[in-house]
Amino acid sequence: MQKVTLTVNGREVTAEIDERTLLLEFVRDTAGLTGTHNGCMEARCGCCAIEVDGDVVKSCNVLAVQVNGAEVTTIEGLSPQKLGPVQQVTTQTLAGVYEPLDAIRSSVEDLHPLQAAFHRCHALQCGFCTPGMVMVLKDYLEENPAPCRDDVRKAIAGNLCRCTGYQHIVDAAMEAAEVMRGAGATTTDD
Amino acid sequence: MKPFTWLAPDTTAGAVAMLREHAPDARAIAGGQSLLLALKDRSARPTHLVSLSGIDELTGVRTADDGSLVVGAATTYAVLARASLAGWHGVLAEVAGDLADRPVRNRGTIGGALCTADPRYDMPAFAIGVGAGLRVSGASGDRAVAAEDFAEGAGVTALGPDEILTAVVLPPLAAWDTVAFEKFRHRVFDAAIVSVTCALRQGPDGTVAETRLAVGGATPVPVTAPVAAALLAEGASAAEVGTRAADEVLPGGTTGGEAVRYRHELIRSLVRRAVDRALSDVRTV
Amino acid sequence: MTEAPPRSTTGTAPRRLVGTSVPRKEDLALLTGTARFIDDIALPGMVHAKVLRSSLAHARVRSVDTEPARELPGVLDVLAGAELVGKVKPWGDLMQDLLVGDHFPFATDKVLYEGQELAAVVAETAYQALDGCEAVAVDLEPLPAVVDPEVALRPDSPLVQEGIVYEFGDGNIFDRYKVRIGDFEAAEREAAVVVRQRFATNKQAGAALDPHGCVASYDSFTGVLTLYSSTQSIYMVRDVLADVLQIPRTKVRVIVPEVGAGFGSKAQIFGHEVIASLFSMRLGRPVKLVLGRGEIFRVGTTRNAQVRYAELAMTADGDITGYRDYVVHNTGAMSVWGNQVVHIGTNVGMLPYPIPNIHVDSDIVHTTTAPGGPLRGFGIPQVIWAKEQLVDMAARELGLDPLAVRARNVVDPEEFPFRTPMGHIIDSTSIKQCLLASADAIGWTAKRAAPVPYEGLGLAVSMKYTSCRHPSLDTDLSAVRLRLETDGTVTIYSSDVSHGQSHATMLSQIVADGLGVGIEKISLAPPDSMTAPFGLGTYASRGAAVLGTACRLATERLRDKVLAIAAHVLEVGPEDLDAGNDRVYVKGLPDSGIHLEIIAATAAYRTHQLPPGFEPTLETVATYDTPTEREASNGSGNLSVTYSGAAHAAHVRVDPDTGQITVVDYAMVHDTGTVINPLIVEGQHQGGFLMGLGMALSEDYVYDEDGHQLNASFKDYLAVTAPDVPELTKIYEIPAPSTTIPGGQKGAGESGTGPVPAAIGNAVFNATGVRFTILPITPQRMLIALREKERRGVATIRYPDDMPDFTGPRTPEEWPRPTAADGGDFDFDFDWDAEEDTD
Repeated sequence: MQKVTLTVNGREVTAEIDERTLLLEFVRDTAGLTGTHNGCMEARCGCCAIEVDGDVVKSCNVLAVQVNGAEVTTIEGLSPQKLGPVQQVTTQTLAGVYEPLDAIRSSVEDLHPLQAAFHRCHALQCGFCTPGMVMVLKDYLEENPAPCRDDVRKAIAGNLCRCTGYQHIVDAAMEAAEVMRGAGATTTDD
Repeated sequence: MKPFTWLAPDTTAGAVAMLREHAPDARAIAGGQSLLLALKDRSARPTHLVSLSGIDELTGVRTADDGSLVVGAATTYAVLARASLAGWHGVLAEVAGDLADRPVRNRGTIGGALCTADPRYDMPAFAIGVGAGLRVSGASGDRAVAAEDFAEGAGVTALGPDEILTAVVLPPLAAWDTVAFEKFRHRVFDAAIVSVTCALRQGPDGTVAETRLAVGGATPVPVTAPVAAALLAEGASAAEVGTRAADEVLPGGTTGGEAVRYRHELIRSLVRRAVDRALSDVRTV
Repeated sequence: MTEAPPRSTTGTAPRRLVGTSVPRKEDLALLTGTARFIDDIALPGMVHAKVLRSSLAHARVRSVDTEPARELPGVLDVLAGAELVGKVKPWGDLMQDLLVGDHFPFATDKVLYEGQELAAVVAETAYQALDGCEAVAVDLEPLPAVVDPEVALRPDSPLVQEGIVYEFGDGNIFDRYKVRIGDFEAAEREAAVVVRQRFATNKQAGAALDPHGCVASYDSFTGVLTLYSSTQSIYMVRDVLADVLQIPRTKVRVIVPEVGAGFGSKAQIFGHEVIASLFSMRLGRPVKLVLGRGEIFRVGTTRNAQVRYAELAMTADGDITGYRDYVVHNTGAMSVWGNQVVHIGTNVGMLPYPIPNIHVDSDIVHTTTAPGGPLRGFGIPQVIWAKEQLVDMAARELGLDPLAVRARNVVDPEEFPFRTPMGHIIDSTSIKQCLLASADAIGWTAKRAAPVPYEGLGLAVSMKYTSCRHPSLDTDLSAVRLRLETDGTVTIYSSDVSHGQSHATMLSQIVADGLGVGIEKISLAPPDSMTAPFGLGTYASRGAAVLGTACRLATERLRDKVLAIAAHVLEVGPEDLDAGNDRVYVKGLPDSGIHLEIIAATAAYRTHQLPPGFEPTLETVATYDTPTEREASNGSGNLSVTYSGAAHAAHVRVDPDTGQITVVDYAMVHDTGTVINPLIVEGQHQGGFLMGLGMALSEDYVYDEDGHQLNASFKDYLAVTAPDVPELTKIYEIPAPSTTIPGGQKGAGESGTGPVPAAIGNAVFNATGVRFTILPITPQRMLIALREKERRGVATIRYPDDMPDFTGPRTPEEWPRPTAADGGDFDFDFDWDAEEDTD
């Protein structure tokens, strides 16, 4: 057993774990965040992609002990559940029941630009690959703010999607890139 | 995965001592992108894992006094891809930035690729193609191994059970005027079916003085094609060099099974492309 | 590549939502990581099971000793086949019309395919369960494998299924299928040309990224077994599981979490669902059993590979007058759906041509390979791959334009409904316009007139059934129950599992329009057999048309009840009322009237205010069973309620140095009838294309001669990645609304797959002169074929089965031996050491 501490989405999580524990398993079972998915355990499908100290990795192919002490960001870290002051929160807003559609569409302050763009562009169907796609694209667009469509395709070459044919995912990445550039991402260097 | 003990030394000497203590069932792990796959499907069952990622001296790229480029074995592909390297050394960054996929490049290391000795990986083939040397540290001291002598078979290296690959050393820029790397793979994140490295040096009169050709993917370990390479200095065309290289690497490759014939064809095409590109590089320099 | 054109935006707050691209209601949970898939289910006290699977494809089971596993730490229970015989009922009988099923949780006397279950271990942790599996001592006696379906036909072939008696079968043939329409021989005599070719298709995986898996939880006091499962159909799982365990249907509850897609591969019950249930019943603890990727490849169902000896007769004018085919249909070692694929695929695959003379024989055979089953397209892509290439081959022989020949032949009646000789009732179609538009979009005329070396264009058209009445399952129904809740919100209950199809959004659009309720107030309940009305599940492109129609009917019934209450309160006739903006109002006065929440509350809490005799509460249910026919004895029949159309045009480029085929442009023009949500339908077509592209160029199961699958991982199974796909912006709809389906919808899910391999195959021929007779067209096959063509010095070649001069015999035995290429299909099959020996 090995004591491992990771800061997951800003929350410090410490546990005595079996050395065999994969980062994927630490995030899902120890930190309790199941948005990071296990699709193949072969470092191929990309559904388990998360950020470790700012770099995206396939968490099924990393041991938790390898990254002891690291800062980890998962899909849940991109859009924390709303926890507003009590007086501003009604049961209806918490449940999202009466939110008009336009509010969902434009709630950029609640969703990461990639998540918002995925929603607008219908870039997800079953949604299983989506967290990994979003995490890889986030890492990529932060480094390459103004890519062309073929660049985006290459960036997600390690993420499989069987539903969408990738077209809307590339659409969403291009839209999100524009928003992220406007939101003060570093300027383009190509 | 079977249970193992996790060891995280902070010096190469410490790592070597741990490997020696727990040999033969201890394994060194850097990024682990290949080793973890084997651990998960239980095809590798080490009792101890010795992590190299906490050893500072194993990471980073620096130019030595003699002009050679010393790449720490635990340097990730992503770091290599971002490195600004002069002259043909920059091809290393290009190769590192165009293999596997983005998340894997953030973990996978050049040394890991060499030690995995997958016949289809780019780094071993490239290292052989440019005539790189490897540095090895072991319980019985340090030694140097030429890249082409390192892999002894698919998945088998010259590394002893208590030895660690510490660095890949590319020769000084003067060794070559240009290096061209070509490969073909099904999908972007697949390993190459065939890769070709062509390193080329001109003589003072502008003719080709030395050519080195290495082919990966077609044989259990990447190999050089010296006979084909020599043809270039004799004025052969790139296509002729390609055809000769294919026969040299896969003798009888035109009559084998479909997979063999395909590799034979790919060697022809990719050598031709690599040589063409190398020649046009030196002519425009 | 070019930039995609700007996305069309939807109008603000549309009055009618059907026909608009409403953003999906499903998305937020999926985007933020809060959605729960099967592996995210954790119950108190849950333990973990793993399955020990056969490493041999065909073997006699001498013994399976589970005792060593029981000794290990953490191991709670171990199961193997022998102890279950007589206690657990085999399944597969219902779907295949068998007296006794051919599926069992474990191999008992014989292993029939690699990966078949031999034993299972449940332990406190997954690692302990794996250790337990390693400790089980298995003694297998290897038997010869049979991988090739044509070898399986031979009398001396190893027999796969030994214990099952098939009504129509014999040896490894477990079913036969025949079509006899018109007189093919007469058509052949009168034809100007008959083209013939052997075509082989591949075994493709669904490879849904969310693994097959389940959590079983048995309560020994209530006797209720709750099964959470990643499945496409809760009632097929419930009914079969209850039958297998011999317990009442009410004691099995199937709940489905989010399902990360299926594509047909989760449309049946699997052994792991039975095993987890048995463990939970034995232990009284929840048991999780989620399969690994290699297991899914080996035991999840695959597209049925076929060999087709196909012939097409054409007159000098280009009329298609006859189609003849002998089909060897490889359905794997066992399959609950496999034989249906060839029936339905062939029947519907004759479209879009109303071919007058059809003669098909099919042998449906077992091999010692992974189970076949449904996969996006359900037999259609295989037929289209053969038939649409034959159309090009015949057109070429006659010197006709493939576009003109298709335009001349596609079904384009003067009056609808139109019944084809095969029996399809075409209630509407725009397939001819789709064809012309697709050719136009790819630049057919100009580009064919100015050929570029190693570039080519190809066309293919198909029509896809919209759900289906299966030959051995005489039903085609879906149901919806609707409840107007007491605050004016609406809950939809359905057992047809949405796993990417966007049911919550699509059904809500129908309900919102019918009831005048805001879409944000409508919810789709998770599929749960304790609460959902009975339905068959989500497969066969049936969501929008069949489930959607049930939803429309339930909505109309609910609307009638709502209007009746409002009419009573407002003292007007219901015919004077309309619904919208969350209220019921007198026509022309949309700002007046009664809010739905008042009506709903009245129906539940103020029942004295209801009209006399009104049955309180507002809940309706509707079941829609399609007006389809059963298959006739000659193979004909209208099996589908309506048919969607797809015309595809491909532009490919071939690299003569590497054999790489790049689809540089692709146009898809579809008739999906009335489209409920255009953006969702566009996504379905793009996804359908992806599956077709994988079938065309890269995906296949590769076996060695011992029946070991060599590519049971995402490393070696060449699933399509983003850079492999062209920009899919030339997607157009030419809607011909169904006149049978009340809302006009047609199936969207699979019509994007059917034409893809054939369109690409035709384009590859146009680019290179190589007519591929096998799938997938890998770079290796492409390059070797080009070299073979050069070696022979010919302008065109069929590869690998080159039999251009063959004209004669009629029976399968008389077909010539194909000149098949040698082995070594994929590069991972490449044996470096073997090559060394040849040095």
